[in-house]
Amino acid sequence: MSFKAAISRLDRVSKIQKQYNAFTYLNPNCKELLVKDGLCNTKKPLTNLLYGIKDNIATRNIPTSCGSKLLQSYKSPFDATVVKLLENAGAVSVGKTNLDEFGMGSGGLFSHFGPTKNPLFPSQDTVVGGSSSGSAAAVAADVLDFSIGTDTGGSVRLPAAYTSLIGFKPSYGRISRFGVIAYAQSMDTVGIFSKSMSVVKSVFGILDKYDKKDPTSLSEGLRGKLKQLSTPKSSYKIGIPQELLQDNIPSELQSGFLLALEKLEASGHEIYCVSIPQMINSLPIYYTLAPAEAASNLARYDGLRYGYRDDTADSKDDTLFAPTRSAFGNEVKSRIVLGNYNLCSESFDNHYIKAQRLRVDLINEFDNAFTHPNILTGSPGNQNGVDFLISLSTINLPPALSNYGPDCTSDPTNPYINDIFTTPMSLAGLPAINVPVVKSKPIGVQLVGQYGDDSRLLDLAAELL
Amino acid sequence: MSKVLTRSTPVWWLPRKFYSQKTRVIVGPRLKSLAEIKDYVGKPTWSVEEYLQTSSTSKAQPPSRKDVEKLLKLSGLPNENVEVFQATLGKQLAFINKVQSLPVDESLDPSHARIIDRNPEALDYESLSHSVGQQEAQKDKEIGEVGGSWDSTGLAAISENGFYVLREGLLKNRK
Repeated sequence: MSFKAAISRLDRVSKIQKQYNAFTYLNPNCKELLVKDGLCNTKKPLTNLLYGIKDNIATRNIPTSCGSKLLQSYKSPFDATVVKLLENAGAVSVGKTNLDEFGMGSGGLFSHFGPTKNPLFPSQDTVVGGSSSGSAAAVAADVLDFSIGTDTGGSVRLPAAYTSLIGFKPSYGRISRFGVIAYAQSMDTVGIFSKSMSVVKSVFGILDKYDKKDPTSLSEGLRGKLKQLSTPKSSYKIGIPQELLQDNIPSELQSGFLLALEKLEASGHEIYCVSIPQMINSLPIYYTLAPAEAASNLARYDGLRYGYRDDTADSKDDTLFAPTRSAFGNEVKSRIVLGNYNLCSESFDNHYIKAQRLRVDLINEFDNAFTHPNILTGSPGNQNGVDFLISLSTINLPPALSNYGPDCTSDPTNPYINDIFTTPMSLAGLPAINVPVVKSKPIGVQLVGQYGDDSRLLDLAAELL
Repeated sequence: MSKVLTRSTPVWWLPRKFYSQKTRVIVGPRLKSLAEIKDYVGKPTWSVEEYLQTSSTSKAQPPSRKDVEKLLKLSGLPNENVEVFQATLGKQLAFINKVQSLPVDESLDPSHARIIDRNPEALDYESLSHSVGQQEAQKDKEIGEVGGSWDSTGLAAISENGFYVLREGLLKNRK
């Protein structure tokens, strides 16, 4: 990307922001930084690349709101590791991108800063997908070269599919989460959006590093093991899980899926039927575990030490901090209440612990499906298994904004089913990527690899572009 | 419960040779032509929409007012809109309650659900004392590990002389 192209992108930012509400905060020093880097003789790997960063990732110089009133003007005293790595590599931040409050939502509508809209549909307000809504919209609108999102149950892959972008969720633990504000820490993963696979690969190369500040960061030793295992092949066995085949899929999506499969077959890959039965239960497992983790993580927002604080009182109905915490949005409140229900002693064993065991069973089933070993579980891999899995990324095309809200109100669980194709991989920490199959259309397929098989997954995904 | 949602729906049309006794996972057969792929992709075996049917037609009583009031308190939320929370939680529970009825191998270790090394090397005395020795030198100012590097009340909306302020008085004076 040239300096000139970057400047012309920057000039379009305010117009795009007005139209799609992709950012929660624009970096006022962006142009200055770009010019300064342009004058510098040493070219860095990401020089002249503009990026946006989801507003649940801590930045020292500009606010970090999580799309919530609770943190609306909060400024972190430190930068997240990913922010430092990107800046050191020469990328310039345009600003913080909009999101569903604390990452809770799949539509991009539940933000204190208002909904983000989908740039693929300039003439009708359309859902962009969430929760990394602004990260997807800003790249789709061509004001960024790439953006950083987070994916807990599909929050990178779903908006990427709705906006015709590459959306990559690496294996859990590969990219540092130091400075990423937790929603459900056993699944939260930093992900990358772009239109260019070479940019995704370069950015992943910069971010894929051990970080001692993140206790879940994959160790140097295990990273070394992964390198030895990753032998590229010219022909892969690719499985279609029957559990991820659904009725009532729009015909355009189904045709896109077949197009991708045809392309892979024509490139010499072999396509297989696969059944991974525990996948069917991923949604109830996910919606048991994620809210429980969220309830714990969001307990810290009391307004006492940082963030928004109610103007007049610290207690209501004999509950400390209730006046401040009532400023959470409805979706967040309902997930905190559900999470606390699952953690209550009356339901703990039959809900939380049971869901954890089912999650282990799902991970073990994935191990039985893949040929590649799992360096975390110790599975040697199934010699008769497959190398990768493939499915659609979404069960539908992005709905109009006017239809989405009432649908959520009539039954708050309605949008939960949008995550059916993405949550199994989140529960197992697997690398997964949305690949757009038709240019500028919201039709994407998801490719999935065994834990740690990120590089080969990216190479395979590139064949579909 | 609907048949397709049961845990071990067998896939009878797949050849038995591909079925492993140890696991319910089935790999194969290979789909050799686009026609075979189309045929397979066009025959789903269950529908995710059944989760919504469960959630909207559930006959189960929504959680009681008393239970929801307790949960609101636990969640640090005001005792408001209790009926709305009752209805929402009722639908959410209908959605996730399938977890309760599923059979599961009780010998599975729930801590293996964490995506970390299941078989880490044990720390011996030497490596432990080495890492303790390193701690002081590795303290990070940026994350507040070095004394005096962090203004603890600097981000508080209300503070006094380096103390946080709670406007409701002491806990013992409340109900």
